[in-house]
Amino acid sequence: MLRNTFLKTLRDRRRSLLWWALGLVGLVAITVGFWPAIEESGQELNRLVEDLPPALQSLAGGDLDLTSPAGYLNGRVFAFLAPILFLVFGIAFGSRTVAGEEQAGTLELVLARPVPRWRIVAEKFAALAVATGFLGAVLWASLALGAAPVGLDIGSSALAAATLMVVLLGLVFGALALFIGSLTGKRGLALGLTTTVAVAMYLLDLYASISEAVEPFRGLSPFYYYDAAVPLRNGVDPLHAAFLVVVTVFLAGFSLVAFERRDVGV
Amino acid sequence: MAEQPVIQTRQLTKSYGRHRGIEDVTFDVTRGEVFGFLGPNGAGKTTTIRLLMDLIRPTAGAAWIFGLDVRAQGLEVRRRVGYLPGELRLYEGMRSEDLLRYLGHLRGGVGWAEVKRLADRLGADLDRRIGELSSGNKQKVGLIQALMHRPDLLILDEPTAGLDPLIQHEIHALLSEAVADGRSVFLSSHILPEVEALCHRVGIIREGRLVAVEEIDALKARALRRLEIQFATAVPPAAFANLAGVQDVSTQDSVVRCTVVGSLDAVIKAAARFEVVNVVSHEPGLEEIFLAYYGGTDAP
Repeated sequence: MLRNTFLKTLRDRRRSLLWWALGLVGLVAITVGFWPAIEESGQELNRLVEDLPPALQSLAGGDLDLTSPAGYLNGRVFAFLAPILFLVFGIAFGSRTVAGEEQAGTLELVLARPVPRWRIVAEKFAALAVATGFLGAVLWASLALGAAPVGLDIGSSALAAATLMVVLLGLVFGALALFIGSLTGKRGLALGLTTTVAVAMYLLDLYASISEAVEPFRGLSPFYYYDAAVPLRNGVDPLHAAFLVVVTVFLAGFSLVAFERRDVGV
Repeated sequence: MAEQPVIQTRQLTKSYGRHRGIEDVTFDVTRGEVFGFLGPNGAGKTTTIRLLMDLIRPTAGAAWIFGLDVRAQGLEVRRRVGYLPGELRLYEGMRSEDLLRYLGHLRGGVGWAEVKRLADRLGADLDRRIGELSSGNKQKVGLIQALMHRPDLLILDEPTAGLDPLIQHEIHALLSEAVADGRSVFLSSHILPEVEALCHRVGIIREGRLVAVEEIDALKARALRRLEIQFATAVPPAAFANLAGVQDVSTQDSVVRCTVVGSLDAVIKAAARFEVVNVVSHEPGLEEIFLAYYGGTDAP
């Protein structure tokens, strides 16, 4: 696990990854555990949601029937909670792995080795991607395993589509945090600015769904690409997924260039 | 043709906005030499070293190590250099051995026998978590990572700062061995005895400018030495006036205090005419060296 920076970075996160995985499994357990009760009292719940203003409706999972398996999982997991968790994970990882280590001073000895700087950042990005993908796999597997016994009838490919989109969303903001950290070397800035951008993008998508004036700008928000096509029902929209991938790859690429060019650890 | 210097800098300059960087630093370090970079804290020692390691980039000027440009050919340079940062920060959660294996892998692997040898030599326990180590033991890990690939050049920023004398001594011995092995060393320090014990030549840096590069002996010869001579009876002050290299003479009953530049010969011969009870001479410290180079008014 110490052969290179990619493996070393994953190794550093092994305990944290374990806790995150347990947390996701716990979330899934609670979610599927409540399904039988929801299924019974479903019609009342649907009426309740219908009375909500549109903005709150989209918070609760949009136009999906909350008592359908897809609507339930969307509302409970994929509309809000899972994106938040993956964003927090990605942003924390992305801001810490370069800027955090630079500020702690531990990167200095690494950079004194005969390894190009861009490669250090590239390997750290790869570790971010693999770690986020691992959590996505945990989310997918626990949902797929947990849904059947309680009669939550959802295809595992629909689950895979939804978790893939959560992973991609987490990576967009993880890569943004990595980029700001690689550009400035300031972990707090990377953390705070990326979080601010994420909240702004979320609100942009939310307002765009209820306001005609904001609607034209909806395509700027990664959250639009994340959930507009409702992957839980319709599978992955290749164009939407590709958009998130391209943004992530560009941000990762900018990170390499930014870190290569500047003074480190000043 | 003269032999290629190990380190060569030309008008190396780094400006940090309002902060002080370094300006026009030019020097050569020759092969097999121990070159001391001496100056008070904040004078620019670390800035110079981090420029050599390509951690920061010069505003102007350039530097070469083994004739390779540290910017353009930094990879090849870092392959052949061992570096110990001034503020050593290690991954606290790792065991020393794991960290050394990781850092070794980043060099494409190093012989573990050499790591073992260095650890034994320094008495470092590699099984412990780094977070549990004292600063002295962390420094040992720092030295092992700098030495483990048997580099041609060691660049050490304040290698013994803040360590107890026993460990300082061990480190000095280890560095002397490395030099006997044919390596070159560039080390920074603000402790004169350390530089004196290890270095052949010294560069003195002050407020970002290299003010002198001298053989260590020449440096000491120029240093101011404080001298206190106690006589059996009171002596006439005139006896010590106008002696070569002697300044600030004060006579108090039977005790004469003065400051001497260079050789003590004149003042000892003058004293020999009277009955001498005791002579106290203070080894010149960094401060006295600086006094010699800058005069008394604006010394650091």
